[in-house]
Amino acid sequence: MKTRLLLVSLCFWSFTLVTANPALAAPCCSGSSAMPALITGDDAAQLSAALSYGTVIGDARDGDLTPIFRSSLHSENTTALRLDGAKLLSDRIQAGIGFSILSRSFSEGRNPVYATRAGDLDLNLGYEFLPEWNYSAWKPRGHLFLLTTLPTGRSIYEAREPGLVDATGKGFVRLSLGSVLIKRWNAWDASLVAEIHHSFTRTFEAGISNPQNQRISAGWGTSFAIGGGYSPGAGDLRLGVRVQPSFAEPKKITTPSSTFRSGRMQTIDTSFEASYLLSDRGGGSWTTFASYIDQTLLGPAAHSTLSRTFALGLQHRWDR
Amino acid sequence: MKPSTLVPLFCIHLAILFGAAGCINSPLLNHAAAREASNEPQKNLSCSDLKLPNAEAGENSACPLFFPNAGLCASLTWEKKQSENEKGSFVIRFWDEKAGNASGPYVEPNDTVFVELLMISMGHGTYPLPITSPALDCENKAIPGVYRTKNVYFMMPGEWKVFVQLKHGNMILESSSLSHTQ
Repeated sequence: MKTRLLLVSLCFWSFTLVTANPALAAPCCSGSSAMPALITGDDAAQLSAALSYGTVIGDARDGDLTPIFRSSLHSENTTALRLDGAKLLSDRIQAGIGFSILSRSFSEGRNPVYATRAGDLDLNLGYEFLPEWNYSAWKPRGHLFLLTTLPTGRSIYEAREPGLVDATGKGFVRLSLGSVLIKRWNAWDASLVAEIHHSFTRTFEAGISNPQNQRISAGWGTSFAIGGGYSPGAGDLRLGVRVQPSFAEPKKITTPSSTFRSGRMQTIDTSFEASYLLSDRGGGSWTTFASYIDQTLLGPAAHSTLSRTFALGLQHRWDR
Repeated sequence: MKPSTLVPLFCIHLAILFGAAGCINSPLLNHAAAREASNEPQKNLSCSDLKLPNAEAGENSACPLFFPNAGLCASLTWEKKQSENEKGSFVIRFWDEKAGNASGPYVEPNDTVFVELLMISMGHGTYPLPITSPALDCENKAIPGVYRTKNVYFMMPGEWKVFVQLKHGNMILESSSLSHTQ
């Protein structure tokens, strides 16, 4: 058993390292997660709130150019409050919602500017396509999800504050299709999330920061996250690591005078996570969690800002 | 398997992950640092300088900015690059494609001159926008064919394009661009 666990663990991490190499995406100015609000355990509903603080460390350029890390004078920070909820609609079907309020600041030495606005709205449907009704040493539990992101936040093309600090959303209606595989072995667990998304073309009217009408095709993107965790003594504490390469194809920007193509965006998020089960009584459980996400550890990255984000959160789950 | 065995194993895996960062082009280990402040020599062009030729950045070819329909060429001369405390400014000079050169004579375009800054690779512009107006001579009169663009602000480091446009009302008639690395 011991050897087997060791082998599984080593294979998992080896796979993590191998797949992390060809890093591929997240666009400028708004982070993204591969996984929507989804119940992956034996719960009827869940609600979580997280407060995060992210700071932009640098800017990745073309893949063959080294990223530029920003000077100490150039500060761009985002504080976000995110709420996620999900509820089972039937034994294997669920619905979820996710929403953020973002407060951003930007300064170059002096005269910092601030803006607080709503972010984009996520709505998702999930289906448990691989239920775990019987014990299996290898078969994971699997969910499919369909996620719709509505551009309720202000995009970088509509921003009207200095430094585009009021950009809190991606600006596009986006449909994502993905799957989540999770496997737990006593104290260990592993997860794999893969998704592909399409952002629908949108025309942004000329505005304060945008002198011309712009028709922008953001197109396709994809990301996958592979992670693993360990609960010492199979107890209430869980420590985890996750690597998430993301990719987005170049945007096509058409203005009345010309057409451009942006660069292909790619990033790799490396996350270190900790969670602790506070209580598990009265038909539900409370869990607190913390994570640190760094986009500067693994690369290469291209055409994206590179951030470090720290998040703290609380989750409540209702038993089935 | 005891926790005392697993914890070190987990730590080893973390160490491997960090170690791998050095092997797969980690931005943390392979990056350039942005300038703390502009070290470029700053040249404040006086009103008399504006009439004179001034070969500077972006003027490597005979016609750095070409407007074929208007039959005009233009040059862009940095007057002041963006620094930690100040936004930048540059001077644009227009001349007839056939009858002039960078030294003059300068020709007034028939249309409004407008400047836009775009970070093509990221797919966005910047804000505040630059302000372009006719350059004034020492007697505060507009110098034909010479424009000064102030409030030039690149909001992040990287490769930018400076678009010089000829507009009629809101309609862009012609546009030509130069690259700029911030």
